[in-house]
Amino acid sequence: MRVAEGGEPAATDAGADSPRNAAELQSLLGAVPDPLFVLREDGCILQLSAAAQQALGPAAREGAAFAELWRAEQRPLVDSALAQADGERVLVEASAPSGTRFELRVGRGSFAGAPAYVVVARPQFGAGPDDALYRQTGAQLRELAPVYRALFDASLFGVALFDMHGRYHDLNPAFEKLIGYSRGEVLGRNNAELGVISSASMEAANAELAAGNTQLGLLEFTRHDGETRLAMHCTSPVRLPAGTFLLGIGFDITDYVRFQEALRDQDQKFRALFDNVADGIFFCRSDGSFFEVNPAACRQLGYSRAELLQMGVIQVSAREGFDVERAMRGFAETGHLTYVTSHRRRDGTTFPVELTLQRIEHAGQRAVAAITRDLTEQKRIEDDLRDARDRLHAILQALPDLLFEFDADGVICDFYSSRKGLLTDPPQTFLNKNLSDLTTPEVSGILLGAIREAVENGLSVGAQYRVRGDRWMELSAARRGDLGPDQKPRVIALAREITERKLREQELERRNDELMRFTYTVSHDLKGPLVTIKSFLGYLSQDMAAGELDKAQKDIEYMRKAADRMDELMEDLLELSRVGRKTHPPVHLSLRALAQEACELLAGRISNCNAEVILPEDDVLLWGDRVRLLEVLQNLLDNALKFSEGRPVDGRVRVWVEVARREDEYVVSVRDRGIGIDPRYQHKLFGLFEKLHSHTEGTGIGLALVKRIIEVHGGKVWAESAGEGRGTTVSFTLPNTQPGGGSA
Amino acid sequence: MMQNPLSILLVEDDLAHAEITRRNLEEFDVELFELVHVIDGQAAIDYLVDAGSARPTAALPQLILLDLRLPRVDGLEVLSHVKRDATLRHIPVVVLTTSAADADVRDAYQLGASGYLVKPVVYEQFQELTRAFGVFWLRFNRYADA
Repeated sequence: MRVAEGGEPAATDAGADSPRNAAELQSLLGAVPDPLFVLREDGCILQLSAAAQQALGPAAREGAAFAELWRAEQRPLVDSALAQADGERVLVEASAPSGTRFELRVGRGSFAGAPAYVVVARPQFGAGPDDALYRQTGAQLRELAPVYRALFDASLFGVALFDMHGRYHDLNPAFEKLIGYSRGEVLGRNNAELGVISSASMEAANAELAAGNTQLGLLEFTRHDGETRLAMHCTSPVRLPAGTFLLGIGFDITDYVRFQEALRDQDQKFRALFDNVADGIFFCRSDGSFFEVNPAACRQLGYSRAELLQMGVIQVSAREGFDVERAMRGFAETGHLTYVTSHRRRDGTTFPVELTLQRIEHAGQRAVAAITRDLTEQKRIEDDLRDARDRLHAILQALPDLLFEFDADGVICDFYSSRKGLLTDPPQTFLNKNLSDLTTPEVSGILLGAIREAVENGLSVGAQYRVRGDRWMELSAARRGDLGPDQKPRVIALAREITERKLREQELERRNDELMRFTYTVSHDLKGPLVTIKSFLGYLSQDMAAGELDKAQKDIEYMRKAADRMDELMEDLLELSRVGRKTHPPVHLSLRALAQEACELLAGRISNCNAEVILPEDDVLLWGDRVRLLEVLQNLLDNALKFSEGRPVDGRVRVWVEVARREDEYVVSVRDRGIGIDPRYQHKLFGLFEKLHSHTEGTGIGLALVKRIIEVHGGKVWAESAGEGRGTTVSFTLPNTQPGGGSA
Repeated sequence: MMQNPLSILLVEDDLAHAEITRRNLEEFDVELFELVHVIDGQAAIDYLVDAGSARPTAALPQLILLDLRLPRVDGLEVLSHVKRDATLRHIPVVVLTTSAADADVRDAYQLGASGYLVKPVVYEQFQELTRAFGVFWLRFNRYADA
């Protein structure tokens, strides 16, 4: 029976305005199983049901005062219940004079156009006439009530009891936790008021429930702290002794849903990795069979996934003699292992892999995740690198040079050469030091210049410098492609000793100069007579035409002299060129004998000058070309006699041939007391066709010839004079060992 | 037009060449010059030092005709001496030599030569050179006083 529906007593629905209605009401009241009264506003009974008469006895009759039906001390309570039931239902308990306790439900409405009360008086359990059963049942219920209450309170599910308007009637701590409100805050209020759920969803829910349907599903709700959460709920109408209520059971599944989402997200990421990673991934059971492989694993081995899932570790491993047990012991301890091994493809070829094993759990069983990285490319790069390193090492070994690495400021960062013997000090004495602290300012200036050039332009070639006095070095430097640890450019520099080359260059330069001078001299000196001959030929024809025979005779004389000179020059040049080309086999020669022979060739001049040539007392054995060395002595003695003529010493012109031994050479000198040489002209003495005195005979080839002969013999020649009028000494050296190594 | 003959110092070690120069100049105009011939560089310097001294035995030349390849002191040294000496510097020096070497030409001008003439082998060319020389140096050129 729905007492509360609409707040109106059900009996009034029919109305009592018509006799038909009154009769219907009467029959209705007869059929109602509960004691039911319709009261006037003053509390007088207007109508009552048959059950009412049965329960409350004859005092219960139409026209009697309702309050009179109850014990005297409870009449005010009943009156006040009537007074309070102003549009509301009121529930009181009252006892009839018989002692039976009733629960009175009072409603207010109208009857036959006047305000009226409807009261339903329900006998309480155990209070009725068949009380023994009621009492027993009641006691059992009272005993059970705390148990259910405890269950209610302890439930992990939020449980709440709502009245039919959705107002909280009761709720357990789990429900408090669910919505974030305390019990006191929510009792008598509904979820829409509280803002826990929206009015719309509340109305929709109520409509369902009104139709008697149980609501089951997910519900989004807002907690007291404003957080929106998701609950799984089940709401259904329940009939309790106190009336019909809505029982709501809710459980917050927000975290669960989020966890699920996170899990799904993880799974997607894993899949993306698993499918796209370049490394092969195998999941293996403890017996080594594969239960999952990724596409990279298939690619590496050349099998399809389906094929691999029928296979296991044994079929893909190509490693022979691998100490599986030892590896597995390590794996057993840590559950992790990485090593390099070899795998076999479907086509039988093998390739190196880096294998990483990780113990995992799969379906409650121990399993292994294996990750394989194909090392083929890495191996190739390593091999290339090793090859390049070996080659570089060999190059460094083979290089006869010093190889340094500098920073941009000239600090020596590294030294690579194997030829440490080229260094005066061990590398550690100069590593990490600046060049300017290790070398002279001149050398460090050159080297730093080259390093800077290499830093700026990438390359510097040919910086030459001199170390330890007479050793020439050449530096080539190139900037490294990468930067040093200090993020500054580095320069690799190669220092090569070029002393020998340098000496040869200098020698070549000297020879070139000499050749230039020679060419110049020759062209100048040969052109001279030519100019003379041509010019005087011109004069000759003029003079002949003019009939001036005396003049013509002179012209011819000039031409003859010029032609003679030219002949002489040519002869001398030929002679000079022969010195280098045409040689006689070297022999041991007595200096004294050679000088004696020269004197014999010069006997005429010696006698004319009344001269004496004084030979050395100590004879030495020279090693060389007899004809040429005789020429040298003859030339030198001839010069000495020529320039001493008329300058006797103690009545005679004297010329001395002397010899001195040095460590590895003899110094032979021809000394005179003649006119001497002005120091200003000494440098011209050995030049081709150079004559210090234009009046003396000859072309001036003599000393140039001497110089050439001595140089061909590996010696040097020079002249000394204290000045004009103070005599001259011309000396030359000859090695005192023959090229074969023997002593001459 | 009468004028004092130009005094020329000819520094030439080849007697035949000295003779050729003299004869060519005479053929151009014997009245226009006086030639003093020395046969090497040292002799030229000695002559000039004497002529430029406080009590000279000879007068300074107005023009020097200088060969380069000379015994003892060569022509470039003579030229260098003349151009370093304040009393001689004003004298034009014309090089007359068989050498056509670039280095000689450059060095001569760097040291202050006023001209560089290469002795032609061909007789007619030598005469033409001498005529042109005469027109310029003997007839038209003006000289600074000593």
